[in-house]
Amino acid sequence: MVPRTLVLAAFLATATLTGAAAKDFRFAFQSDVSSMDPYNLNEAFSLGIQGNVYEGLTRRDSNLLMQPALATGWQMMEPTRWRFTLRPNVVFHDGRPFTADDVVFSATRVRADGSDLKSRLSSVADVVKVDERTVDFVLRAPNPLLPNEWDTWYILSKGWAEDRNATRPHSAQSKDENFATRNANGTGPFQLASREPDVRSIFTANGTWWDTKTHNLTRVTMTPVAVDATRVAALLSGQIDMAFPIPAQDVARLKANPNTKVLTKPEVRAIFLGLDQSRDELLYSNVKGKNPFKDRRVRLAIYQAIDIQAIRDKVMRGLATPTAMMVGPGVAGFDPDQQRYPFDPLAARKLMDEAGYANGFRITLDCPNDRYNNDEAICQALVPMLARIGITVDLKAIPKVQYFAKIPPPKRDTSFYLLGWTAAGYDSLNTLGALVMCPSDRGAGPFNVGGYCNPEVDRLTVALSQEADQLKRAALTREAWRIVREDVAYLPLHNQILAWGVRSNVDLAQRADDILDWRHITVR
Amino acid sequence: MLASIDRLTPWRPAFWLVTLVALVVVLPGLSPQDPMDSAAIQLADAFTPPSWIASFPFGSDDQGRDILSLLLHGLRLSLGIAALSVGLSLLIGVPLGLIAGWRRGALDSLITRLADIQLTFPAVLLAMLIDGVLRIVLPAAQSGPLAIAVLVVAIGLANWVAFARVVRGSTRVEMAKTYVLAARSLGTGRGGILFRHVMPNIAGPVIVLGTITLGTAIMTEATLSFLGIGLPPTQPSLGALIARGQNFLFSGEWWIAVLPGVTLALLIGLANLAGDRLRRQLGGGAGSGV
Repeated sequence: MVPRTLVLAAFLATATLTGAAAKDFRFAFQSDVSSMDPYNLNEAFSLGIQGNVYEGLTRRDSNLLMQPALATGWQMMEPTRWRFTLRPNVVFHDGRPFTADDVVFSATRVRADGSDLKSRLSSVADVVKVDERTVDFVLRAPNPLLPNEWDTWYILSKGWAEDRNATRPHSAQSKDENFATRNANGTGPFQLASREPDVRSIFTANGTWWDTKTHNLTRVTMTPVAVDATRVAALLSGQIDMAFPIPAQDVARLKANPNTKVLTKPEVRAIFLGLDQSRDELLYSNVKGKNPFKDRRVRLAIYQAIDIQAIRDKVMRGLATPTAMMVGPGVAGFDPDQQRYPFDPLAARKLMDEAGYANGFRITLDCPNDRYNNDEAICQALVPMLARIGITVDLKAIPKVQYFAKIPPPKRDTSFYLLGWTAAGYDSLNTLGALVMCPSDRGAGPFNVGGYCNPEVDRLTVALSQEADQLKRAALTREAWRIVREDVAYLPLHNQILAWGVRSNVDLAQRADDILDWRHITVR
Repeated sequence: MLASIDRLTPWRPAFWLVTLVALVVVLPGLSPQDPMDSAAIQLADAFTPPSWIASFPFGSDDQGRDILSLLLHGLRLSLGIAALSVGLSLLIGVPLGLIAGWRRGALDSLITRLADIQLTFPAVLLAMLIDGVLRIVLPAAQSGPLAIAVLVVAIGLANWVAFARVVRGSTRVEMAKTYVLAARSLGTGRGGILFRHVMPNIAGPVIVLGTITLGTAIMTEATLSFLGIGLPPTQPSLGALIARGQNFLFSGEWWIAVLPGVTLALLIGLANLAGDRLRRQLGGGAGSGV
């Protein structure tokens, strides 16, 4: 008979061993991913989470520099033909090998109806499989930045998608689902173990990942917690290891607690207001028969009525940098010298008078309430500011799930809205192409909700998309942003300063695009 | 506790009702700031702590609105919505109860079963459901005055059952009394008996129940607004204010959540006290008071 103490000792030893090896990481964001299907919604948070399970041909390191991922290298054969060499010996989570067929399939799928990421391959005319490990991309026109945004164009397994009847993406604007909505099969460092939308998703480390692992996690649990105070309380009590975003009012408290720390970093995203400038009559206003936002003076009046400093000090408590740009610092084309139109309610009133709206008008402002830091509070702060120039604002703040089904084209069911945008590829070209270019059937301006159109900006953007020379790119970008500011196409507000709350025993790299990359997490 | 205070004070229930009405009519006019006039709100004033000597005696919220003014207007809104919804409950519940108590038979069974089924759902849940459905049917109800109407309908529909049951029971008792027999032998029609003779005799319990339901309705409105599905954020609602304030409890700005919470507790206590006193005065059997 084995002595009891020995059994106990052996049991304790195994317990300690597994305890040391099993590293759980639990975190909370303010909302859930829209879907596990990586073509469902072009939104940084969802793409960021999916990027731990799926991988693109390229990826970004923690400093946002581009690295090869599923492609080991690429070269421009001619200006309109790029050749990508694929990484050998990569397998999907279900065991299927990664081949050129998967890349061709994913290129078709990402451009299919229902995909929100068509823009990733908008310049690509044809995708040709050369052999099992080589794929050629044939372009409509030269595009020197081709792979820049491909860190968030994830590759799906052709065989898996076909077996599971998920060959077509489903749109965030519809309630349709397919197998890929709640299941995932990527090549990434983590695989989806279980998913309950809006409750909890559990991921486990992928033991057969092709790359050397830089994390020490075995399991990751993602729990959406919408209420700021609850998220902070969960972090303080140790129920979770990491929470973001941290509301500005709680930063000091988390810093003071010995078990928690706060990481801050200026974010590349720009938060801005958009105005419907294309419809002849606004959907949600008491002005009938004409659209006041077509008048630059009205747009400028709203711009100048916004006390951005008060929003920074009171709503954001310093965790924001007011900006005049639609792109954030770190994005190619960001110009720190571009000045905001000054806050001047008197000038704004005068502009309203000149435009013929001395008595003001009524307008509905659409706003998400769980997407950006203090989004609803920002919108609410705008109500009195605009009231002082005669504009009565009806505020409609809704969760992002409903918001992103309502605001983007084709619905564009808004007259006045708040949105944030991170330039994918970290080049102004993405923002200009998605938000500023005149919307067209060819896929230009997919997020240009307000329908701002200026042929000159379109011309500059097209030229920029084909220009390889850095100096000329900078000049084109500068000119395009100058016109956008001159036209008051959008009303930029600020760049958020990211605040992540982390338990002291966790080390992680904070990316400036607010994406939590689990590859860089270690738990002590 | 409120009941024992009530026992110590020799005041009449009328006093409590007058207090409630005064809260609704007089106080908002005295508020230092009009929270509905958004042009008067300065973001720079946000997060001012309560201080008796400053311009914000109860402090200001995260948008720079005066909490005292918000409370006074919020009280009016809460009481108004609650009163209207109790009115709606009365309009539905009393006739249905009268009919059920008078007709018996299939119609009685139908009404009582309907009431029983509805009773299996908590009132707040039901109000949420009605609120949600109405908002889908009427997209304009997301903001503006229609949002208030939707709330009134949602809360009113959720609370009619209690009235129907009390009225039905009382009607059956009254119908068996001799004055009904006397009226009948004088040739009075059934409608006349029901509305001219029976209804005044069952008014007591209904009034008492109405006052007590007022407290429940106030709480339901606050709950819905707290959950963010009641009034739009620009309306001064006690529930919405508590929800907003709880985000700042950790960071030391306690007054944004605590002061509306205390106000809400006092208001519901007052409504219940009034109901309790009325019950003793009118001798109604409905409700057990606080």
